[in-house]
Amino acid sequence: MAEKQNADNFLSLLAEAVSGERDAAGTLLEQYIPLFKSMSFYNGRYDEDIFQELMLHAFQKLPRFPLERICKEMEVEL
Amino acid sequence: MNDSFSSKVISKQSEDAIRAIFTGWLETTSGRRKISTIKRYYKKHARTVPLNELPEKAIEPKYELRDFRRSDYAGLFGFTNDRLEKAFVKLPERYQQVLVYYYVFEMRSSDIAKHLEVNLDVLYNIKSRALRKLRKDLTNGREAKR
Repeated sequence: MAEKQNADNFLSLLAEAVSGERDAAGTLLEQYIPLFKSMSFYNGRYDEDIFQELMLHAFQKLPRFPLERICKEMEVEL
Repeated sequence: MNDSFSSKVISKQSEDAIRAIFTGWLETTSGRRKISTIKRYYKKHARTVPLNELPEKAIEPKYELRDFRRSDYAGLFGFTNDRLEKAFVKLPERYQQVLVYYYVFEMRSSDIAKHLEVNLDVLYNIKSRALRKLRKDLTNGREAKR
């Protein structure tokens, strides 16, 4: 039941984020902070500027994620 | 929107698949952005040197090519291992010369070939034969596996 709840939460959050809701995008990207941090290393050192740039870029590009097409292909109804 | 969404039955499998696709997309997009950010940063902060401040010769050559004698080559290497030195001295002069050019002067193959007026293939042959001979001598006649 909890898994079902999580599934709904993630997909609804993603759908909202892709549709342009800033709060949803913020909450969604918060889950990916560890990924962004791991990608922000350059020359073996953590770079805060790269981290911020990546977060901002992801935030701006979220509406371009082709969620509708993917859901259609997977026969998942949004 | 949430109500209508939660009323749909979405399997855990589909959710995992979409999450995986989204994570992959995020990684690709962010990876590209990282590269462009780093490139942009270096373009902006590239170290520039005025043309008139550049030295006449960017890199001083490490070696001076002159006519060496057969007895010079071992000295150029400055061996600390007696067995290696003895094995080296036994090599034909051409072999010694090529090894000195490679490992003492650290010349590039193309430069050595040009200097010795031989083909690159011939040079590689000489080098590998010289090394094989050295190895054979150092392992008391048994050719080391390589």
